[in-house]
Amino acid sequence: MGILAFVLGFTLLFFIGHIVLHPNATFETILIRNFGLLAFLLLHVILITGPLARLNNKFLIILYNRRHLGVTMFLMALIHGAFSIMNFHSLGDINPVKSVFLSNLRYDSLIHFPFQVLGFTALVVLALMAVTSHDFWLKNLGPKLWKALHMMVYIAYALILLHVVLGAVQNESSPVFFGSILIGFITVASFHLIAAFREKTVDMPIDGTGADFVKACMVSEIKENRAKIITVSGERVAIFKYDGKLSAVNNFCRHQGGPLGEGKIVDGCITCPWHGYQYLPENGQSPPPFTEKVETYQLKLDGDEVWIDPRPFPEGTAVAPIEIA
Amino acid sequence: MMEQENEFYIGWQEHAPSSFKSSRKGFFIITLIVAIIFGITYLFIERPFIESTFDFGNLTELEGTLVEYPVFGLKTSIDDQTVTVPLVGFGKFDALPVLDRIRSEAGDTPLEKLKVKLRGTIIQYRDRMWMELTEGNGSIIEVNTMDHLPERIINNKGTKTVIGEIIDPKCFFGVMNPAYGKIHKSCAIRCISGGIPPVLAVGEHGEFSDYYFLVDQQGHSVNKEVLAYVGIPVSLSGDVQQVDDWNVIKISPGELQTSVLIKLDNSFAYCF
Amino acid sequence: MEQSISILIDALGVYMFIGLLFAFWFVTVGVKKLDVGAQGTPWHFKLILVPGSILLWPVLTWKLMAKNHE
Repeated sequence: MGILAFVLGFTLLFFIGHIVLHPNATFETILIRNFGLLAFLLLHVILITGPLARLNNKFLIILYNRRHLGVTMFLMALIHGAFSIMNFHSLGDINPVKSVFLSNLRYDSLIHFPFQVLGFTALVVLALMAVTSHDFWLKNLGPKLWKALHMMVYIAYALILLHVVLGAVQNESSPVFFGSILIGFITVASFHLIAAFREKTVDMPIDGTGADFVKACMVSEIKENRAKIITVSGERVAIFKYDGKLSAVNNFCRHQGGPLGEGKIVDGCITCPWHGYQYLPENGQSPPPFTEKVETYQLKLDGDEVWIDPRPFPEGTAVAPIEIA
Repeated sequence: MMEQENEFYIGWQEHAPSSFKSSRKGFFIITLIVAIIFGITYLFIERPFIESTFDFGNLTELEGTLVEYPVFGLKTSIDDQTVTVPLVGFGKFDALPVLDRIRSEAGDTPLEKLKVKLRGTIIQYRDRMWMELTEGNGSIIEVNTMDHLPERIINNKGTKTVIGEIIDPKCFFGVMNPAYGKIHKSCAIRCISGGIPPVLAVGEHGEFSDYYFLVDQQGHSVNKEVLAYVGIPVSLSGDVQQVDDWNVIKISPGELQTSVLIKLDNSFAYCF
Repeated sequence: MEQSISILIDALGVYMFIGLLFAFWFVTVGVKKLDVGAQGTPWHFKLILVPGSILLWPVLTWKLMAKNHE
């Protein structure tokens, strides 16, 4: 609801602003610019939510609603694209879609490059993501293909940046246009870099090659119904403490790769903080009717020290939890 | 603090803990503020729009004599001033089918001796008026024969070099706003490809002061030949002619790539 | 180049047309074969699948064929 109010509010402000300040602007021009701007703005918001949620888990609440933002952004881009094609390419001597590609043929030049082709291509990429945003597609395309498809948002972002710089920015005189695009890009890039850097330093890798058991952590380091994430033999493992017991599973949620170790035991299940997918701690299996499974690990206690066997059991293997004395 | 760290929320739960809710609220407010600042800034820095109009939805009748050179138009009198109103078709097309129809209706009478009444949609920017024959052949209201030929002014003004942008006049003079530069380039190409006569607007960045119809040395249309040079800054040389209230520049399409038309390809200044 | 772009866009049109036909079949019949969970789902859920089926019909065809071989 918030998104819809945001879109309507911005559009209203933009139209009133034009009527007051630029009464000569045509309706289609205002419409095309409004929805282009909105899509561009929302794309930045979407790109920032991922790293923001990794930096502070309180923002996971936005991540959970990211698909709604994504679909809204696509619809904004679609209105922008459809009206541009109607305005600039229809009622002519060739098919409007062909006109997008064949009117300006300066593919050899950067400055004169047919920027609408870049926007059109980006719109196709965004369409692929928007139409597959429902979980049906995640399940039936498989997480790998789905994730690959949705990582294409970065390709779309690159295409859109070029589309704007080689298009709208060239028609304007104020350096503020180029400046704000640059600020947007720097913001998105910084969030990604900071999140990646923080993730790298958050857990110290334990070299477990060759050893039977390696020391993971102290029991006291793990909070009740929560986990500690460690890295052994290049894999991240989440060690959960619950009901006076300890269990270890692979940290990587099979839904969208969320960090299970940042989740919590809810109703006896490890619950992923991203979308709430659940696994039983003692065997790494999602409770029926779900079928997701993660690898499990053997733990042992030495006094207050938790030791782990770095060799994972196959996904969904039952491992008896160890009791804390 | 401890309490906050223990809070946990996943999207399908009905009630989010307050710390999550306030994060969402904070994020929403920041986004809103950025959007409002950006939107308002945009309104103030975007390039001003010219005062061109397209009288969409209203049909106007004009009476006058027909001209074929340099483009199909109607010479008429507005506020005691004789003006030539170039005629274009619906969409991105010329109005030549209407001209053919008038010709067939007139039979043996030369075109210059016809007095016609046409109905269409007015396109106007300052003192330049164009008309879209929106209804095609239905735009022809009356065709009469006169007994005298109308007066025409044709002055040769020598060779000139002019710098500007080749625009499609239908959009430029009112159908779209703005209708020049990179964004409008492909639309202008479509219009000129569809027969709308190419016009060189002298000046740049929408600050245009003078207009020239482009024709070849024989006075024929050069629509196909100029397509690659539309919507970019160009320098053109040729014999300039005043035809009634319009200017014409006669270019050599064969030399477009070399001498007559110099593309200012390296003008990166055009970007910003 | 102009000709190849033109052919490519025509091909894209044909692709979308096949996708449209496929989508009709998929949301009414095919979806139940691929995902038993889709059995008896309301019409608005199936409507959500239409755009995806139009764009991704080759992937769905391939998934359906793989399922048949199982």
